[in-house]
Amino acid sequence: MDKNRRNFLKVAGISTLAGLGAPAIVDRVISGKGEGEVFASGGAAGHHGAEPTEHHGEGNTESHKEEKTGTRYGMVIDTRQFNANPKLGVKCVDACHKMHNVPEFPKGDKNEIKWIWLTNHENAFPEHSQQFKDKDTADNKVLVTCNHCENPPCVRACPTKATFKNKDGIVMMDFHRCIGCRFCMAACPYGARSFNWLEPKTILPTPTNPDYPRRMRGVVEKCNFCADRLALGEKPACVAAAGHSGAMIFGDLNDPNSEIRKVLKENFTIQRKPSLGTNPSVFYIV
Amino acid sequence: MIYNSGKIYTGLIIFVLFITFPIWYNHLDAGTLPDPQKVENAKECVAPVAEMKATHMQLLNQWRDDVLRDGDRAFNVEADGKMYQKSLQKTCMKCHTSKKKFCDTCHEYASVTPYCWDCHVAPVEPAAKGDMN
Amino acid sequence: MKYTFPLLAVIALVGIAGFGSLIPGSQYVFGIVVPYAAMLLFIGGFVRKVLDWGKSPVPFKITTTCGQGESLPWIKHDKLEAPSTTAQVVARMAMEIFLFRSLWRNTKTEVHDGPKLTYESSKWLWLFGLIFHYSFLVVVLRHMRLFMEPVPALIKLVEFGDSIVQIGAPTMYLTDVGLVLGVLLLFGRRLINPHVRYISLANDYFPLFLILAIAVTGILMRFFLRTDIDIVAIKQLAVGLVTFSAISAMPAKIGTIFYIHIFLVSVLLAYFPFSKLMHLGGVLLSPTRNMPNDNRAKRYINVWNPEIKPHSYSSYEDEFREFMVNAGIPVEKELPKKEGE
Repeated sequence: MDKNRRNFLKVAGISTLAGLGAPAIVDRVISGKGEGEVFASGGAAGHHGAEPTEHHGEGNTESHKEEKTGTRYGMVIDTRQFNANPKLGVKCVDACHKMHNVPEFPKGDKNEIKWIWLTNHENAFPEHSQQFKDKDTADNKVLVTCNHCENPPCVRACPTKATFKNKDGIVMMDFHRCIGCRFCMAACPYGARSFNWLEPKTILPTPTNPDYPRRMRGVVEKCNFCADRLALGEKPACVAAAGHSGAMIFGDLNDPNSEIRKVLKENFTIQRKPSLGTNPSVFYIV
Repeated sequence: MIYNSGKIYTGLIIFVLFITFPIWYNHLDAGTLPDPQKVENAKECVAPVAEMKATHMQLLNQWRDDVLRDGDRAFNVEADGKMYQKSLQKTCMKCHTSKKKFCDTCHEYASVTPYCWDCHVAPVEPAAKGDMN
Repeated sequence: MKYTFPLLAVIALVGIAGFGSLIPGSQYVFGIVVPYAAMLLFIGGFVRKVLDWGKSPVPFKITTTCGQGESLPWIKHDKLEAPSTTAQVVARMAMEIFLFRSLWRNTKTEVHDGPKLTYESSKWLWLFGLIFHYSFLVVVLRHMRLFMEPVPALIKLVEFGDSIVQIGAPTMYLTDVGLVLGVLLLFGRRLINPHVRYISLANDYFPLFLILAIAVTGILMRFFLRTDIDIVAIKQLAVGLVTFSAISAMPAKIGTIFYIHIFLVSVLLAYFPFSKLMHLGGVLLSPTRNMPNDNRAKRYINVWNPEIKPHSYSSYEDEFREFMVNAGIPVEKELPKKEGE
């Protein structure tokens, strides 16, 4: 009797595990992507050099097809330029936050809202060695923002489709639909999302940009690559603020003739946390 | 005890008073009809007035989805082929310059509380005392 | 079928208002005359019915007890199921009126394989009945915004709560969904459950179809057929009705769907006092619920009973002693004939 129960539990346990695991394996097989390839793709993207489309092999899922044909906006941040000009980073952050009515908070405030911000090198690139840092890396901060991942985990987490990837590859927020569950914040590996714990109207009684809406309490917000400016043919606010310094290059990653692709071809670039397989669209020249 | 008429009639009077409450509440005063601000700097809207009166909220909702989700920001008015940007703040409120004198008049009368202005910024009210919200 | 006639009747009503309101000038009929007539019928009929109920005696104390009545102090009294004081009756009635408590044990008898007989509480009727009634209440309260100027804060609060999910514009109301869902289940129950289907009559189906049609026209008007649906014009007419100034306040043009909606509501109001819908008032007068179970503590006198004087055996014997003695029936007290003879 006892032995039977033991055997039953064994079989039941194994079949449960198999049952739970099977769909994932089936998905992999269907999408024509072996487990090794997933990691390979992430790793290769980290040491970006060749054509990004190459990494996906015969990957035939819809998102991949879309990626090849549609626009995929991306950004290259040249940290060398920011290191050379320490005031530039703050200027970019200010330009963005003023443009989007993001209120200012004291440093380290737990209610802080940030679309783009400066952080230490070890926080931006925790997967990279931080031992014996060079002076530039140790002294300067890195400009980080939403990576507008090709494979955004926040979009998968959102239960109301308030956050979604638009046709230009931008991960957008629809504040009208956001219910403030903050699943996306938990899902984002880059901490790019902020939650409105306080009523923006009371913190920012006079909007810094009257043409742009504020948010309401209880919604999540983040960088949107200035989708509204792009529609008018302008560059994102931060890129515009960086000006002609070449510190920030913005463009379509899917267009092989774009400026950004030229820069990517000429420079060694890294992405943030590439091993997660999110394929960030923001690249860094360190 | 066999007849409960006292209680029943009391209840009936309360019921009738309750049912006819709007009559007592309004005391025969229909109030004033809303008179939204007239537009001075434009002759026509993106749609005829009657249509705007009835369906402006659906239009705005459609615009919101078009702009935000599909990235389609242009609005084509078929009558004169003129293009308008699909934007509450940048298109509507440029002619209807006052939220208080335009939007709020009817919305208050009909007790409609759209949540647009929770986030969107209303134009600065000319005569307002510093409070734009 | 028993539901075809009510269905056709509701379709006909929709047709009357739909086509009727297209006739020029008929907006005064559908917008003013019909609503006033319906309201008069509703209030008049309701009052007449309740006055009649008030005049009717309640001959017997027939409280339904579903638990232990008040007894010796060491026997636990079930105060809700067998209430013995007014307060307990009020509590029981309140739970009946606000929570439909008796439907909670809508017992369903089923024969399963075995054969095995089961009695199970079927709570669908309770659940959807509750959703339906509360949705309807909120819908009616919400509509008061169109009849009151300025709109009271309570009505605004109800409206805010009802549209709290902020889906779409105009915002979706939770009670719209609840009302339609509730009506559909109450109707489906009459179709699917063979016992209920058997006892359902045309006058069970008619109000269901009518309420469904009202809800559907309302939803269509709010979300889909908005041509010429200007809420300001509608409120102008509605406020005109309750301030008796509707003729001068008649707006120029309101969409047909509005006239269909208001006509169906008028029909519902006019039909109300003469139908099963009077359970709105009748629920308060349920004799099995609104009486305390104190039959043994207090004497309940039925006025219908003939006047019967107490008649003890000794007085009975006094009255009939002669006959009893003559018939040879033994008596306790002999006839006082010794003195006479």
